[in-house]
Amino acid sequence: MSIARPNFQLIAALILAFVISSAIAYYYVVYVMNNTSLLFAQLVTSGLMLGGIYGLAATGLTIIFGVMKIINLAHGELMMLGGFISLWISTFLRTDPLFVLPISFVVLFVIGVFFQSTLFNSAMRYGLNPPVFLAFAIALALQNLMILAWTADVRIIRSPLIDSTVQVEGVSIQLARFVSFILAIVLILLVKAFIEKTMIGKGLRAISQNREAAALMGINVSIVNVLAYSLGVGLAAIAGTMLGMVFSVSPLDGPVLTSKTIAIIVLGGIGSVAGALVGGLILGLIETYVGYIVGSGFINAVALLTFLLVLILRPSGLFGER
Amino acid sequence: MIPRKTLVLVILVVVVLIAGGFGFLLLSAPPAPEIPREIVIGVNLPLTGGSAPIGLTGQETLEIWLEEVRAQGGLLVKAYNRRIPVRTILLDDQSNPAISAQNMERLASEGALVVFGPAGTVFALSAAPAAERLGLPIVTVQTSTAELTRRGFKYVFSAYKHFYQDWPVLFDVVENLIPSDRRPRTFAIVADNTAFGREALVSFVDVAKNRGYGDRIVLKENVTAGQTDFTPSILRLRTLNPDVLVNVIFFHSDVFNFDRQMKTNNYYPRLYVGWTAHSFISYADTLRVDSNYAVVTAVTWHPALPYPGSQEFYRKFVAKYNKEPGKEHGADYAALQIIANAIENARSLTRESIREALSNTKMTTILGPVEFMKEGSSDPGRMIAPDYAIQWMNMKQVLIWPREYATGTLAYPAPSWDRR
Amino acid sequence: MMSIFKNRSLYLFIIATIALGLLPLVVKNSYVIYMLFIMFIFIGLSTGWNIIGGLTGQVSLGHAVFFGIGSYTTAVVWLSGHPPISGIMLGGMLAGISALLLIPTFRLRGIYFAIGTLFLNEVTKQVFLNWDAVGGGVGLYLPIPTVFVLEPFYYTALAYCLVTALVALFVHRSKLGLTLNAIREDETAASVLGIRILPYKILALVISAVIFGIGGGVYTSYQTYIEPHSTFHLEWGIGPVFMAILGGFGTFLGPILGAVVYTLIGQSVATLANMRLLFFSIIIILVVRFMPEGLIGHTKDLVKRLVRPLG
Repeated sequence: MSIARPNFQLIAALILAFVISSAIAYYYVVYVMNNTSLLFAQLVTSGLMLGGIYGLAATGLTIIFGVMKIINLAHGELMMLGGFISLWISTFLRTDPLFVLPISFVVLFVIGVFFQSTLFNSAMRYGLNPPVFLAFAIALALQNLMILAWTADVRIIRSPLIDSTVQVEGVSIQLARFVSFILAIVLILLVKAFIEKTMIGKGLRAISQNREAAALMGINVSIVNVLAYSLGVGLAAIAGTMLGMVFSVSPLDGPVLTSKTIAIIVLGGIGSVAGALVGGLILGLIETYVGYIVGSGFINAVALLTFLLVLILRPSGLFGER
Repeated sequence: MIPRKTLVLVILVVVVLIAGGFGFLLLSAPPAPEIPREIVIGVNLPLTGGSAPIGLTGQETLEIWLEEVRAQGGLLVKAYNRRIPVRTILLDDQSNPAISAQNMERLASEGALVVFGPAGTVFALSAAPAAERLGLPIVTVQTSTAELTRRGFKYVFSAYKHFYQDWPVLFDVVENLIPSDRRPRTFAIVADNTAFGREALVSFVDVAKNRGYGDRIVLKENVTAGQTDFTPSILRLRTLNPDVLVNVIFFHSDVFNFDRQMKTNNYYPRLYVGWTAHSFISYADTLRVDSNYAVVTAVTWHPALPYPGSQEFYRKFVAKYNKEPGKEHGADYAALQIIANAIENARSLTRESIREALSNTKMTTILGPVEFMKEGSSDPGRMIAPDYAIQWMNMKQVLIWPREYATGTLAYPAPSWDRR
Repeated sequence: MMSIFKNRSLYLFIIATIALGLLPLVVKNSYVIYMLFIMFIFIGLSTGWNIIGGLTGQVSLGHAVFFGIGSYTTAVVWLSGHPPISGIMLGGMLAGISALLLIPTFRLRGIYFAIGTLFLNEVTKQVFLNWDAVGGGVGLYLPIPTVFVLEPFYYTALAYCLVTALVALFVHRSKLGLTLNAIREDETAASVLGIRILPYKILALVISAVIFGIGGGVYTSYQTYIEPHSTFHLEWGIGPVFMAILGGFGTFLGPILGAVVYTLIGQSVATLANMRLLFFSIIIILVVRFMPEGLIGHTKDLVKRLVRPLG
C-alpha cells in the first residue's frame, strides 16, 4: 500500500508504449488490413473501456494483496457472489441495480469480516501458504454454494438506466462500460484519499510496509487486517455488479476472473491502487489490439508473456515499491 | 531427524486410514440372488465446475425419470417377468476429466449395471477407456465429438449425434428453407480453443466442403475460452460481413458475452447459427428479446414433437421445476428411456447382457425412432436419430425443420438491431 | 546409499514394499487398485514438490507444467510407435531440461515466485492450445491396449512412488538436504556462509521437475486421452502443494501422509453428488484452519503430550 510518488520516467515510458503500440496497430488496421480509421477509433475506445472495467475488478484484490500479502484466490468467486447479491436485492426491491451497490458492498464487507476474523487471521501466523489454500478452498465452496442457490445459469444484471449503447462520432460505446470506467477512477481516488488521509489508512500503509514495526508502534495488526480484507471484498461486490452489467455473472466464472485480476495487480504493482487501473488498461489494450490484428486465439499467450517479462524485469510490478 | 516413535505412529495412522477407507470394499459381496432385488444405475455428470450447466440438466431430468419409475414400482424386466426397483448412484466429476474416469471405477465397484453419462466431450473421452476396461456400459449425452465412437469401444454408447451427423442439417435448412435467389453466399465460424470448439470448427469445414460450400467460408475465427471481451472478433466479422455466422463457443458465459457484444457493436448476420448455450432454454431467459432470430440446427428434441411421452415429459417438467425443458433435457430423457429399454429387454441383469441389449436398441423415444450404429460401422455405439432445427422467435423456440413437424417458418434474413 | 536408512525404517520400507506388491494378488476389487494407483501418483508428486517447495522454500504453484510436459512427451513418443516406458523416461528428462527455463523466475521472492510459476503454467497451457502438431485444443488420443488390466499401471505407479520416496529420503538425509534447508531458513545467511545459492535451487527444481514429468507420463499411460485444459489443470499444480501442507511442510513423511489423507477425503465425499465439492472444500478449510502446520506437526505434539506423563 504505497503512496506512489509520481515516477515521471515510468509514466512517460508508459505513454510512449501506448503511443507506439497504437501507431503500430493503426498502421496494421488502416494500411495492411485496409480498414477505415473509424474502426481503429472503435478499437482504441473498446480497449480503454475494457481496461477500465478490468481495473475496477482488480482494485479490491490489490488492497488485500498489498496489506496482507495474501493471494486471494477466492476473489473471482467473491465478485460473482457480489453480482448475484446485487441482482437478488434489486429484483427483490424492484430498483435499479446501480442503487443497491452500497447495500451489496456492506453485505460483502460483513462476509469479509467473517472470513478474516475466523479463518485468515489465525492462518496468517503460519506463513504465506495456509492463507493461500484457505482462499482456494473458499473459492471452491463458494462456487458450489452459488450453484446450489442460483443454479449454474448465466445471468445479466440489467440496469434500465445504463443498459444501452451510445454512438459518439460513429464509435459505439456501451454505457455500462463507460460508467464502470468512471467508477473505477472515482473508487481509486476515494481509496487513495482514504489511505493517505485517515488514521486507519495510515495503519494500513504502515502494516504493508513493515508488519513487525507497525505492531511495535501500537497498531492493532489483526483489526487492520480485518479492515483491509473486508474493504477488498466489499469492493469486489461493486466490481462484480458492474461486471454483471457489462458482461454477465455466473457461479462458474470465478477462476477466470481471479487469474485475470491477479495478472493485473502484479503488472501494476502489488498494493498500488493506481497500478491496478494501469495494469487493467494495459491488459485491455493488449487483448483488443492482439485480438484484432493477430487473432483472439493468441491474446492470453501474448498478455501472459508480457506479464512474465514485466515480472522478471521489475519484480515488484510497474508501480510497486521495491 | 524424525523420532522413531513418530514414524511408527504415522505408519500406523496410514494403515488404519487405508483399512478404514477401503475395508468396506474388501468385504466381498454375497453371491447374487436368483432374482436381483434392485437395479443399480450409475450416474456420472459434471455438477460443479465449468461444465456444470450440461450436467445439471441431466440431474434435473434424472429426478423426473426416477419419479416415473418409482411410481410404476420399478422396471419390468422381461428376463424375470417382474418389476424390479431402481437405485441410482449420482457422482459429480467436478468438470475434471481425471475424476470422471475415477468415478467409473467407483460405480463399477458399487455394482452399477450401466452408467448414465458422462455429459460433455472431454469427460466422456476420459471415462470411455475405463468403461471399456471395466466392462461397464456407458450411455453418454451432450457428446458431439466423433472421436468418442470412432475408437472401436464396445461398451461406449452415445445417445447424442456427433458433429458430422449434425452439420449437414445446417445446409439442409439453408438449401430447403431459403429460396435460391436469396440464399446466403458467405459463411464464417467462430470457435474457441476447447476440445469441443476445435473439433466443431474442423468438422464444419469438412462438411461444408462435402456440400460444395468449401470456398464460401470467409473467416475461421479462433477465440480463447474465458476471454470475456470479443469485440475484436466482432469487428473483424462486421468488416467482412458474412451472410451466415456459426458460433461454436463452448462455455455459456462466453456465448452470452459474445451475443451481447454483437449488439453493442451493432452487428448481426443474416443467419446466426448457434450450438451450445443457444439451444438451452436459459438463452432467452438471459438475453430476453435479443435472443430472437438465433437458429440452432443441432437440435435433438422439441416439445411439439408428436412422439409418445414427449408432451407428458414437458408437462411433468414444467410442473416440477416451474420452467420449460430444453432440447438437452429431452436428450437426457431419451438416454434414460434407452437405458430402461435395454434393462427391460436384457437376457439377464448383467453388464454384458445390458450392453448387448443396448447395441440392439430399436425403439421410439421422445426424440423419435432411434438406434445405435452397429459394430463394424464407422461409429459403433453412436445414436441415429431424426434431425430438427429451431429458431428463437418471441423468446420461444420455434421448430422450423423438418417441414412436417414445423411450428413456424424460418425468418430470413434477420433484421439489423435498429429495425427490431 | 543404504546409510540413509536408519535401522528399523529399512525393514519397515521393505515390508511396506512387499505388502503393496502382493496386494493385487489378494484384492480383486479394481476400485481399490485404482485408488492406490492414483494415491501412488499423488505421493510421488507431493514428495517431488516438497523438494523444491517444502525443503528449499520456493513455493511453486505451477508444477503442472512439468506434469504436462511429461504427459505430452509420453503421448508423442507412444504415438510414434515406441513403447510408452521410453516416453515416460524421456518425459522426465524433458521436464528436467525445461525446468532450466524457470531459472529467471528465481529472481522473484516468496509470493511473487508463486505467482510467476502460476503464470508460467498458464503460458504453457496457451502454447499447447495453439500448437497444432501436438493436437492443439483437440488433444491427443493414445492407443487403447487390447487387453485391459489395471495391474501394470498399479505396479508402474508403485515403482514410481517408491523411487521418488527413495530420492526424497536421500535428499533429506544428505548434505544436500541440509544446504537446501539452510537456503529456506535464511538465504542471506546461507550466502554469507559461502553457499552458492542458485545452483542448489536449480538442482532442487530439476529433481522435482523430473519427478513431475515421470508422474505425468505414468498417469497419461493410464488415461490414454490428453488435452491441454486437463493436463495443465490446477489440480496437478496446486493439489500436490496442498497435500504437502496437509501432511507437513518440508518433512519427509508429511507429503506422503498428506497424499494418503487427501485421496481418502476425496473418496469419502464422492457420493455427496452435487455437494461433493462443497464438503471437500469445507474439510480443507477446517484442516488448514486447525492444523496449519500439517498432520505431522500435530502428531508430534500429540506424541509429546502422550509421552510426557509417562515420564
